[in-house]
Amino acid sequence: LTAFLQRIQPSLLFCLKVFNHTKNNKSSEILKFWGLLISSTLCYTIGEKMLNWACNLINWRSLMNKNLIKGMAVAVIMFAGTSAEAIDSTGGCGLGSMAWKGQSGIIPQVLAMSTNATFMNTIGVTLGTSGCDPNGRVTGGTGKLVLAVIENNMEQFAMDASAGQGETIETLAGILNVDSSELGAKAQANFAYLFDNENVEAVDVALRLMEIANA
Amino acid sequence: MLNPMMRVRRFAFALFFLLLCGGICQAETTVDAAWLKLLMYQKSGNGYVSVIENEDFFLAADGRINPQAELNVAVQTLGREGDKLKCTFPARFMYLQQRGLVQGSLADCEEYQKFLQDVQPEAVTLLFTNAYMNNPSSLFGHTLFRIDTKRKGTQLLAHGVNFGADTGDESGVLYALKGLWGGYYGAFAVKPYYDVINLYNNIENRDIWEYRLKLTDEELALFVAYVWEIRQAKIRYYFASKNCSYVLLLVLEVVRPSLNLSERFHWYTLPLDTLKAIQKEPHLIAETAYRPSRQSKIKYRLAQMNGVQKQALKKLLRQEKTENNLSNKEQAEVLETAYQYVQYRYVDGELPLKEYRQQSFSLLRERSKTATGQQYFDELKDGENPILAHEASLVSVSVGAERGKVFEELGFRPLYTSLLEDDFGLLKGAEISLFETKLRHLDGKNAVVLEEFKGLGIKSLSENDMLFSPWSYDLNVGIKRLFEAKKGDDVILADVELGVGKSYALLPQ
Repeated sequence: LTAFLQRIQPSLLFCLKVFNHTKNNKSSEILKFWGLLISSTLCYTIGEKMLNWACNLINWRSLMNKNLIKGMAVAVIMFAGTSAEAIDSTGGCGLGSMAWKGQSGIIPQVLAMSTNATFMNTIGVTLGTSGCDPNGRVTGGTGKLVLAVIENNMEQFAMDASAGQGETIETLAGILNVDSSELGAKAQANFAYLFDNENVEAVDVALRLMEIANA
Repeated sequence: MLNPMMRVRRFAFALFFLLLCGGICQAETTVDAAWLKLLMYQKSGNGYVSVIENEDFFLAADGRINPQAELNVAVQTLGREGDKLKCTFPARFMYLQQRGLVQGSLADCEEYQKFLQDVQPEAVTLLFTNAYMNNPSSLFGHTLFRIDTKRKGTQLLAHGVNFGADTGDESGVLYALKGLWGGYYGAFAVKPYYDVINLYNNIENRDIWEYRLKLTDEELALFVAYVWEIRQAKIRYYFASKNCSYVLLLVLEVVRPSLNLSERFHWYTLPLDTLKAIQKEPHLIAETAYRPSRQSKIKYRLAQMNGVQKQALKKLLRQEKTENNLSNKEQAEVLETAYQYVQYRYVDGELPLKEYRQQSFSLLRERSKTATGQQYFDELKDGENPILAHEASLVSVSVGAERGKVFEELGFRPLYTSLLEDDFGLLKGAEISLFETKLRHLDGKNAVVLEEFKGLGIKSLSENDMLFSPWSYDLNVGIKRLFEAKKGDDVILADVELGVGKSYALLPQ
């Protein structure tokens, strides 16, 4: 039972409206209609076949005998059957790398990371173990830092490079100990070299940036 | 006249103390408030108990419930020459060192020195991330620390220090219940600030507020040492009361023992309330900064655009070829906004990876060719400081008429906000009420009845515009009084309601 209960998603509540307005006067008939409409829309958006079926079943039951308890029982069982897959908690090295490296795991990752609570356990409970660095810290020499910043901030860096300025440029200029506006101008001028194709790897971008910066 | 037996006992007792103190006892070492806070002791009956539960966090066998014994053992062990125990508990070591109870330094602690070298602490900033309607545990916002870095550049290379519950793989009902009743342990985690930004600003689209704290050098050093020391602590996590924000207050009290922030919070600890408590302390918050979420940025940029730019943006997003006579600056603004929006859609799951990459790539290529001066966008720099938001509890008195008869109503809502209240500093269009109770006196019947008890009520009205089309929803769970015509009388109903819909702004904001 515990396992079942654990897997009930909050969306269960969405389908329950139907029961609460099944009264016999006219106005509540209208409400019921809306309730039905709303719940089926919801099921559709959630987009899981079984879920849809579960909702329809509840609606049908509620029309038949308006029995809330039975309806809920059905809901619980159905949801247990359909429950969302286990959350993929591949922490990875941040949003950027995920997107550009081709690991199509962003949505499960968003799910896994979306609470303050789980935020912790996907990243690691003990001090450290975040991102690419096992210690979860900003560490290492120039090259390692440049790579870490680019790898973990790829989207932002790509934009800043194309614009020739921005927070990542300032940060990288700080690490490389060069002038920030100069580095920005160089990155913008050499954007096509830095990002030579849409599947470019962070390592290559980092190496090229260091080459440009020192040129 | 003592009998021999008593004498032996007294002697043994004295000997015991001599052995225990071992010659360091010249200095009077009694427990003070700072020590109690350092190990997070709290009053329990006549004694103390620490909120930290794992025994290996304490040096004395009964250290968790005996602050004095813990102090005695610490004095004895942390000052031992060549002993590396102090490297595990640098904050305790610093406490004793400041009071001249131990000698030596932390310079020979390699791991700890490495940590300091990575972190390069300059200051401590308290972070507040605003509410996130899509997740119940984030409805009230979240707080965490940042250790600001001395490194050249920006604070991207700083470190976030987060206290959160380790909930394993559980979710759903059991997760919520366990969380409320302390079924999980919380722990601290350190991660680069760019990871924090990515999570809150870019994935969850929550604004981050940064409140830099005014700490002395000693306080800063103690803070960093404490972060190191407490990384192995296990603290029971209660979603409502002893949550992230509460434990952060305890940490602040460690760093500055004269603060008494946590004692004001008993039943529930709202992140925003802890911020307000800190704000009220003189000389604690030095400066405030605002870091808007991706969505806030896009919305702001959109609001700044002229009509031609908006048209160009629309076309660009539909991937149509555009011929326009925008200036370089205007074109750059459109391209950057389009790029941000593509990012947003990808994270939102609306765009497959391949398309996302291809679109981002071509937008940025275009952008890099659109050279401009240094200044284009007037970026969003300031928001509504949540510290100035209204208090969470509401008492209401109303008078009205119901089926031709006058009634008077008294309402109390302990938490949190409603659409009728000033939303300054809070999420727009959001209503969250917990345990809202309304009693009504009906003049016609001359009776007091329960009008409504709302266990949980959430409304989220998010505006649809050119780029965003979020769903609005309404959820209510509670008890309600309803007049039933057939019966000719009131009935009390268990009430579960849900509404889904779309919201549009009728007037420009």
